[in-house]
Order: sequence, then structure tokens, then C-alpha cells
Amino acid sequence: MAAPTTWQFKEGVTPDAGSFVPAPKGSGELEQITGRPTTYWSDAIRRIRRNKLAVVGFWIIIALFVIAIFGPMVSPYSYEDQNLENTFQSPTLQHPFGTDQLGRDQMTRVMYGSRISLAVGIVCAALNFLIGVTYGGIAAYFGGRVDDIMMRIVDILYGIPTLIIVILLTVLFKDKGVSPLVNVFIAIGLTYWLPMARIVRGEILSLKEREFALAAKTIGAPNNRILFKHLIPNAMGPIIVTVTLEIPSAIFTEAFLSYIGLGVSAPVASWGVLASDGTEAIRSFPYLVLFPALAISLTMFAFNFLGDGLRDALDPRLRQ
Amino acid sequence: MNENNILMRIQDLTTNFHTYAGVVHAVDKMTLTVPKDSVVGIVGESGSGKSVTMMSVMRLIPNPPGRIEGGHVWFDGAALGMPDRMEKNGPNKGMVDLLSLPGDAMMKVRGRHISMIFQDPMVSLNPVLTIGLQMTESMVAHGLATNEEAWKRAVEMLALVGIPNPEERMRDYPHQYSGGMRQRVMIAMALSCSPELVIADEPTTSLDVTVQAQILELMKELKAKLKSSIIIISHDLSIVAGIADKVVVMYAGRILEEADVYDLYEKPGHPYTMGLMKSVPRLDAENRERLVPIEGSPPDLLAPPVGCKFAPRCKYAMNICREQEPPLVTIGEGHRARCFLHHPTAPAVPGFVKVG
Amino acid sequence: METILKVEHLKKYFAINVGGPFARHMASLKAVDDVSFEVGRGETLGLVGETGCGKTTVGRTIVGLYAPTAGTITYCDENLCALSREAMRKVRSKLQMIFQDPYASLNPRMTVGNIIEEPMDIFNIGTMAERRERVQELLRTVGLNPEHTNRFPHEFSGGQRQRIGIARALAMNPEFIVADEPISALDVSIQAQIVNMLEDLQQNLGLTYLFIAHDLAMVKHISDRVLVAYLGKIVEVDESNDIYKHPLHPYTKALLSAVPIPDPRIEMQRQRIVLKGDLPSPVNPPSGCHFRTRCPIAQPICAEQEPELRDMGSGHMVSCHFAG
Repeated sequence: MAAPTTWQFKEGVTPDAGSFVPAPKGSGELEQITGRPTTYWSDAIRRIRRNKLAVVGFWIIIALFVIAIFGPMVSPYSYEDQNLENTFQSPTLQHPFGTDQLGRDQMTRVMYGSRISLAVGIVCAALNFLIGVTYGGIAAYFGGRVDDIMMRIVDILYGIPTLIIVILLTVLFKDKGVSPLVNVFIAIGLTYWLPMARIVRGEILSLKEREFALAAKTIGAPNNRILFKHLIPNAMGPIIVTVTLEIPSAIFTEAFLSYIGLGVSAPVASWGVLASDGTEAIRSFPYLVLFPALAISLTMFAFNFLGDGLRDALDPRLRQ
Repeated sequence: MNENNILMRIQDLTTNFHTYAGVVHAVDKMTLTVPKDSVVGIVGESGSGKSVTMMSVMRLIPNPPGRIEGGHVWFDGAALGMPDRMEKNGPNKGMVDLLSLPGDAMMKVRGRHISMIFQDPMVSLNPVLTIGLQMTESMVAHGLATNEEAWKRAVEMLALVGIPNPEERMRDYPHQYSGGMRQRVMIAMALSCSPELVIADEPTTSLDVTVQAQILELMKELKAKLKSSIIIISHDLSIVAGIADKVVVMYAGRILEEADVYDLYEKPGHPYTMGLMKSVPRLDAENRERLVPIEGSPPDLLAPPVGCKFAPRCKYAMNICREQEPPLVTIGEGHRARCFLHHPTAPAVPGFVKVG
Repeated sequence: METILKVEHLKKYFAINVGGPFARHMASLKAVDDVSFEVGRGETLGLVGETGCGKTTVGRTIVGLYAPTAGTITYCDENLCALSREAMRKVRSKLQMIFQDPYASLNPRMTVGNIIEEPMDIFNIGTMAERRERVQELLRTVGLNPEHTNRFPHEFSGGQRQRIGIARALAMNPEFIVADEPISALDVSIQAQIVNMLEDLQQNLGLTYLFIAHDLAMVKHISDRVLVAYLGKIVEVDESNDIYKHPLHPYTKALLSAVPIPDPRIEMQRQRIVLKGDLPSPVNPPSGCHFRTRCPIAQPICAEQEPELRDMGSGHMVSCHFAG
């Protein structure tokens, strides 16, 4: 099919004398921006919305916060109200989770427990973030001997089972006048930053050779500015994912510690304490263990799903 | 045009990418004829659609988000050995539409009748397989040879592309080769099944200048010795000047100019081609005259401008250029251009050879 | 012409691990191996070469990204290596760099305005209002719309991003700019825009450039003088007008003959000097003249004795035993 040598014009376009006159150039037309409206974050949000499990996880966490804050306020019972005539009640409308051996409403106690767990989650996430990011960032940024030494320390600490360190620390601080909850914070905060340090180190190592980091150096930026203003913000994706996935570990660890009696203890109602108390009556009154255990599992699932979803959404390679 | 002379005819090929931001019109009604035993150069910048066109021919467009929306890719049926799929009548008699082939039939075409050389030899070779294995793989997979025959032929091909001690080099791994040698291996692999068409997509872009010269000289030698047609894609006008018989200039998914190589450089018929030539410094230039750039940037393919896609950047744009896209008209022997400046009513422009 | 930058016997070696998994040992990658040259104020000095020649390392060492293994860099008569950190920072604002990759040289999380403003922020120059104005002025200077200060880099095209990078380099009124392959990653039709802009800026602001590239035609076009580098050494120095007509070093001759020219009449007939062999490893460069393994006129003396950079007259320098 030979190309047309005749000129064919669209309908409605009839060339006249004016058609072949040079067109005026619009000013500024040339340096347009493509104006693509997405940023890294809006792209990520769009992607995570498509991940049903992650969305479910997100809403469960929101529900958890709402229940933790408002639940105990709304409940007609407090976590320590005893009613010795009402002990060991199976779940009823009045006591949807039943009552325990002292007649305390389980549902209220589970809701109180969520406060503890969330507090642990948030505080440990914060400590994890602060310690891990700074440690990993400094190791990666300075490299060489500094990196070697710092990461060898991490490797050594990694080799020691975390739970043992946590138990040791809680035993150490147990009778020193530190509240048991703060004890748990310290123990978890001091041990759970290791994966974050490694991940951040890996990210910063690759980022620091990128040209924008070199450019920051050439314009005279001091080291801390380069690290905290340029490198770490660009590593936020993996950092957020790691924090989100560390939270369920922290929550579980607190529950475990309380279960074995090293964390908070009665009458404070952490899920671990509840589970511990309930275990004694597990044969006859299984619901006493069931609800706290369900709460722990559900919370952990929620954070894990959200974390996985975030990991996929924030992966720059999958960017569209 | 005598159909016996034509190896491949791309006709009204249109490929779009459906992204969340909209539809990217990557290739728009592209029509191109590739004669047998010739070299066609496709020149274009990023976004011109040159690579997407060839990936569409090979049907390697990822789907989603890409989709070949229309057109045909007619290929010499006798060469393919698919007599039952050939067109019986009409201008494409004796040719097979590659776009209509089912997946497994197309797989038989790739590597055997049409092969491709990619830009970056560092990543195009499998690092865990020996060169020998990779070279023989294609021949054996297409049933052209047994393992031993393929091995012998591979050694011949390596010698043909100038690899010293080919027998021993067959047992080496890609990381033991330099960049230039790896590209030679890619060329040898592409030629191993004696394809009728070789598509080289920016074959020298990632190589050093002296290595690039080696590869270009090699390709010139192969052009003289072999019967395959070659399509060379490049963003560099200078590279195709030494090897192509015909050159096609693409922009925003369409052809703006197509000509015999001597005509294109001596009598360019499109402001874009002229602009490219003026904006590139020549090594043999006498003085350091200021370059004349093409103002502006390539168009956004999500929302391309109405009318001629080059008009926003064109020094000579007229009112009609903003309203309607010019058709590709013949302005000389084998020379077509897509520009209203060739219309009889259009004013004469200094430095522009107007026809018609 | 007043000399603004003097590089003397500069060496930069990198310690790297070589050998397979069972034979790892440390070796020295001699990226820059005794390089000396001078740059005059207001001049554009081109530095051209292929992979492994050390040109990027030279640029980065001058700007202070790497510390030299040996040698001195003197800027306006001040020895950069001997300066205190404070003094070095002041000099740093006069010596700036433009990078190759427009997609990686801007922090994707910062707005364009913040990117350009950052040098002023670091050195605490000007009030917020003054800085804002300067940023807009700089955007205008590089041909961009000053209203786009709140946009992010990914919203701009490659050529526009490169302009932003140039605006950042200009923020502190530098005198000397090292341009490391500033146009290699751009489309052909955009390259000329940036090159012209760099030439205009040089004239208007009195800048001196070290223009590093592998595109010989572009280097010859923009530079006053050209340095040809091979495997960490300078093999030829000449005026850019002269080097195409009278190359003296065999590598320069091969390099010039390798560059394609957009003219089929020339290209189809061309007899190229095709170098044999491959680039030797910079960890283990050949003894004597580094180029001898690929040189068409190599003699025994080339393996024994390293040629010196000799002046062949009017500043044309070659390091070859048989040049001239």
C-alpha cells in the first residue's frame, strides 16, 4: 500500500489562505510539566487499597484503637469490679465474654488489656525506630571499620535468643522500683531494634552512593544532614514496613512475659495475665482463655497483614 | 513494489499501553516496508516508539498493560514455511500476518526467522550458563541441529564475529567476557539460526566508542556476507549513516520521514530531521559554531497534541499544523515525509527542499 | 590566562577485593595514576576517555568527594588538601559539580525549591524571603518556570531535571564547575539546549568548566582544550580545534577514527583504525605505557619505559615514545 501522494484533510478542515500562515507560539508552552499527580505515597496508597487483607488488617487496627480508648469508658463495669455472686459465668448478653473467678466482667478486662498491648506496640515501635534507624544509619553512612564493629555487635546480640535477654532484663529490674509495664518497655525496646538496624543499614549503604547523596556532599552538607535529611527519608518505605511487622512481636512478647508472671500482674489486665489466669480453669471454663487468646491472635494477624501489604505497596520496583 | 522483494511489511501498527494514568499511545498507525537483504535504520529519541514497534513485531509486548490495538505485520510466507497461513490474494499475497499467529506458532518464528539483539549485553546473557550452552540452545530448540551440530555451528559463528579461540571460549561464562565480546556473542546468537530478519535495538549504546566502532565494522562485514535483512534502531543519526540502506525517523509513535540514506542526510524533508542534524556537533566541523537545538521537550504520550505531534516544537509550524496531522506523502524516489511544508500552498522556507 | 586550578601528580587508588570466593585478597584499583594539568580562569577544559580511564574519579576528587591517594590540587593558589574543614567548606562553595543522571541527582523527597535552596540553607545565607527570590531567579536563569518551586523532581522531564541540578550548582555563585557527563543521559534534541545554556552561563557568569564526557564530538565542540585519558593517565593534551586535525597519540587517533559522523558518504567509505584486544584491568595495568597492549605501533621499549607527557609545541602534549 503506497503512501498517499494526495493530501487528505479531515472533515471540517478546509485549508484556506490562513492555514499555511505560521502559527504563533504560545509562551511558556515549551517548558510544561507533565503534571503527573502522583507521589510515591499516593501511588503506594492506591496499591495497598487493592490488597484486601491489608485493608482488613488496617480496619481491625483502627477498631482496636477505638476499643482501647473508648471501650472501658463505655462499659458499665471496671476491670476490677468484683461480683462474687457472679463468678464463672459463661458468655451472656450481660457479660459477652463471661466472668472470671472473682466475677469480673471479662469483656471489660479484655478491652483494658488492649490498652496495654497497644501501649507496648507503640512504645516499642518508637524505640525500635529511634534506636534501630540511628544505629543502622550511622553504621552504613560511615562504613569501613565503624560499620564492621557496629554490625559485629549486632551479629553477636542476634545470636542470643531475644526472649532470654528480655527475661533477664525483667528479672534484673523487677524489684528496683520500676513499674512492671515500664520494665517490659525497657526489655523489649533494648532488644527488638536489631532487625531494623540491619535493614536500615542495607538501605543506606545503597542510597549513599546515589548521585543526590553525592550532590549533597558537594554543596557542603555536613554528615548528619546528609544522613537524616537525605538518606533516611528515602529509606522510609522499608522502615515503615519493619516497624509495622515488629509490633506484633512486641505485643506477643509482652503477653508471654505477663503469662509467665514477669510482666504486669494482677489486678492489671493485660491479655497475657488474662490468659494466664484463664489457663487454670481451661478444662471447665475455656472461654476465659479463649477471648484473650483470640484478641492476641487477631491483633497479630492484623499487623502482619498490614505490614505485608505495606511491603508490597512501598516496593519501588513495583511502581507503576 | 514487487512482493518478491519485500521481507516484511508493517501496516498501520498501533500499540497502546493502558496505565492507571491513562492510555499511552506508544505507536500510532506505523507503516514500514523492509526489503529483503537490506538494512533499515530507525532513528528516534525516547518516546518515539521505535523499540515498542519492534517489540510489537516480535509480540513481546507485556500484556497488561500493553496491547497491540490494530494493524498487521506481513512477513514473507515462503521464508516462514507456513503455506497454509499465507494470504491468497491482494497486495499481501504470499505473506503471513504475524499478529494473527497463535502463541506457539509465534514462538517458532522468534529466534528462527526473526531474532533480536538487545542494548545491554551485560544483562542479556544468562550468567549461570556457559556461552556454548546459550548459543546452542536456540538451534536445538528450533530443531535445526543436534547438540553436536549446533556446537560446531556455534563455534563457526563465534569465529565469524571475531572471537579469538572460539573452541575454548564456548566453555566460558558471560562474566569472563568483556562488553564488546558479549555483544559479539549476542550477534552470533542472533545469527545462529540464519534468520531472515535481525532486529538490533540500540546495539552499541552501552558500549565504549572504540568498542562501538568494532561492532559497527563487524555489522558492516556481516551485511556484506549474509543474506539477512537487518533493522537497526538507534537514537544516534551517525550510527545508522554508515550501515543503513534506508533510514526512518520516528517521533511520538509515528514516522516523520523515510528515505534512502544518502537522501536523508543530504536533503532532509522534515523540520525534525533537519533540527536533529543541526543540534548534533560533528567531529569534523571546522569551527565551534553554536548548536541549534530543537526547543521544548518530546510530547506527553498520554495526551499528545492535536495535529502534527512535532508542531509545538517546530520553527515552521503553521495554523494547519495545529489542526490536523499531515499525512505521509511521497516527496521523491523512496522518500516520504509527514509535513505540510510540502503542500503546494505552503510558503517556501529557507534551507528546506520542498517538493510537490 | 590566570591559572585557577592546578592538579599535580594526582593519584587515586581504591582498595578492592579481587579473586574468586576461595582466593580473595586486597588489590589496588589505580583509577587515577599520576595525572597533572592546569585549568585557566574562564576556560572550558574537556576531559575525554572511555570506561576505566579515570575521568569521573578525577572530577570527584577535585570536588572533594574522594580524598586523593597522592598528589595535590591547588585552587586559586590554595592547596585544597591542606585546608582545615572550615576553610575547605568555604572553598567548596566555589567548586561545584553537575552530575550525569538527572533521575538520580535530585532527592526525590524534596521539592525543587528546597533542592536549589539547600546550599544557602547549609551556609546560612540570606533570609527566607531572600532565598526564595534567589531560587526563583535561578530557575529563570536555567530556563524554567519560577512558579514550580513546590513541585517534586519526578514531575519534570530529564532535561528539566538537569537544569534544576545546574541551578543548584549555581546557587552559591561558584567559579569552577566540574560537569561530569552532564548530557549523556539526555535525548539528543535536548542535549544541544543544555550545552548552549552552559555556554551562555559561562559567558554571563564568568565560569570555568571541567567538562567530562565520553562523546568526543561534544567535548570538542564545547571545550577550548581537550585532555585525552586512558586507564588512569593523560595521553594527549591539545586545543580542541587542533586535535582532530593533528592527533599525535595512537590512542587519540583510534578514538577519533571510531567516532561516527552523520554523513553516509563519509561513513560508508571510512577505513577505521580498529583497536585490537580489550581494555586491560585497572587493577593490573600493563607495565610501561598503559596503552601498549592495544597499540598498533608498540615496540619493546614501550613495555619497559613509561613515556612522559612531552610538550610538542604550543601546549600540545603527548605521552608516547614515537609521537611527532
